[in-house]
Amino acid sequence: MSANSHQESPWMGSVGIGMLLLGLAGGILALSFIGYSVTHSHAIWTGGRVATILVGFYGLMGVLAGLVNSSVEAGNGDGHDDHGHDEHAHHGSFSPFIVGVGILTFLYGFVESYAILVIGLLVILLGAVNWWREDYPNDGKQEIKSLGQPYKGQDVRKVGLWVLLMSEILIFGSFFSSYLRMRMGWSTHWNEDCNSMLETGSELPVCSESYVIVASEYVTHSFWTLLPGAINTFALILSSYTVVLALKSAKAHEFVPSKNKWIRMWMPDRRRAVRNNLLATLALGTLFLILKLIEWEHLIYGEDFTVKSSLAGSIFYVSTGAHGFHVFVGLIFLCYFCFKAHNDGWQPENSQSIEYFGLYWHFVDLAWVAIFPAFYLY
Amino acid sequence: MGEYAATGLEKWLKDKTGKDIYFWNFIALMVLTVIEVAAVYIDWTEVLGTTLENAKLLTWAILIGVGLVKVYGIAGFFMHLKGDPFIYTKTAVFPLFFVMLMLYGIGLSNPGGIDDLPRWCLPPWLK
Repeated sequence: MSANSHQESPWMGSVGIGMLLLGLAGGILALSFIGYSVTHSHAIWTGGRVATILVGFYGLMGVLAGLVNSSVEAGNGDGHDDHGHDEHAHHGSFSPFIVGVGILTFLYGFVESYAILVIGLLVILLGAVNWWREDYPNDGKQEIKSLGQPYKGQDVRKVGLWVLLMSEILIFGSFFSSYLRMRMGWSTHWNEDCNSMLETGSELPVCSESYVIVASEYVTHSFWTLLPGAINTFALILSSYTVVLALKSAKAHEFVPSKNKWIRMWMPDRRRAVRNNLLATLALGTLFLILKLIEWEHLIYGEDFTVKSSLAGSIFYVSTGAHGFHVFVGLIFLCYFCFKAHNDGWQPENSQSIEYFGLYWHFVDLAWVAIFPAFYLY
Repeated sequence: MGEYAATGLEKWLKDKTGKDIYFWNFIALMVLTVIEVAAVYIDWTEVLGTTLENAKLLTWAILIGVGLVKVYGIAGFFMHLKGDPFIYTKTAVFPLFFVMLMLYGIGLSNPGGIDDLPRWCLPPWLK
């Protein structure tokens, strides 16, 4: 089998992704249990279990589909029966499985003990480093293609990533359905014009007993409290664009520097164009997290609006916190991408890795498109 | 996000302005975000002379409408569902069916959704 031949490795493909999803499902269950223990919010407990079942289902299906496909391929004699005969053939990676086990251990440790938590973190780190060690020399010539329908001929990594995004859509969907249910039952600043902030000298009537102060009321109270959220929205959109620019630069077989002298000075060749665009994405993502913390700090210490104070606080911090966590994970991966870009590691042949990272990053942007109006403006 | 041949409006934009669809998509997303924030700050009861309830409904409609356009811009162009094989669009849309079910079943139609779900979801041996 040649190095360029297309075969499907179950561990790089659906089995690995399935294991990762199963680990994620366990993690969500543990997190929702913690959330319930802390806040006694049935919304978190219910949403967590719904998400666990759905993500676990996808994970189990991924594992089963991969194993079945693997055995069929072995039976056909054209897939994985050439061990020892071709040193160049791509045999996939165990790293997603290791990371999945690490996430499960970490979140279990979150409930049980710090020692287990640290072990989980170390396992995640081991899996991630091993993943990057394997990917670093990847020249794109051994991209594994899917053999089965309906994704026949598509890159397995891209398919796997889309399946991951499917489960992410469901996770955020469960947050939104819980939030919508709460808002339907509450009287808020949206439908009652009253003196909710207990301002002295206000001519507004006293609020009804069922009145609930939601995060958006604090955030839209003044221009300055809304500013971090608004800047964050622009930062994420801009960071999505810089990822696109990094991919375009990496894909270009003949890189043509910009006619604008400032851009040309910043990106005179492909290596620096890819690296600097990725660095810009890293900087914008970091800005997002910093502004998020500033905003949380104001809400928690300035307004006494905490995760424990009310259901409104619980759903706000869980939803925006889950989104922030996704940004954080993206930033960790970006560090590796920048490192590889600095060493001129991205070429047109292997640029698809940036594309797949971009898919994840754009999804994070997409989730914010829904979170920002729902939690900050509504 | 793979490369594909620009056609129609995308080609026209590229020919007329020298900038590709990604650039204009980025600009459109920025402008739409400004519209979102402005829609919340504008006092529609004064501008249109309408009731508070109608003003809130209008704001809500603007937020949802603008949000949907932004989702199309990001998913269609940045995530390149527009140029990729249709199977990826189907993959992206598939979970939305379950999300709609959750939004309807929990968010909109079941007043006891949040508090009662654990009770009627749990199997008897866990109650």
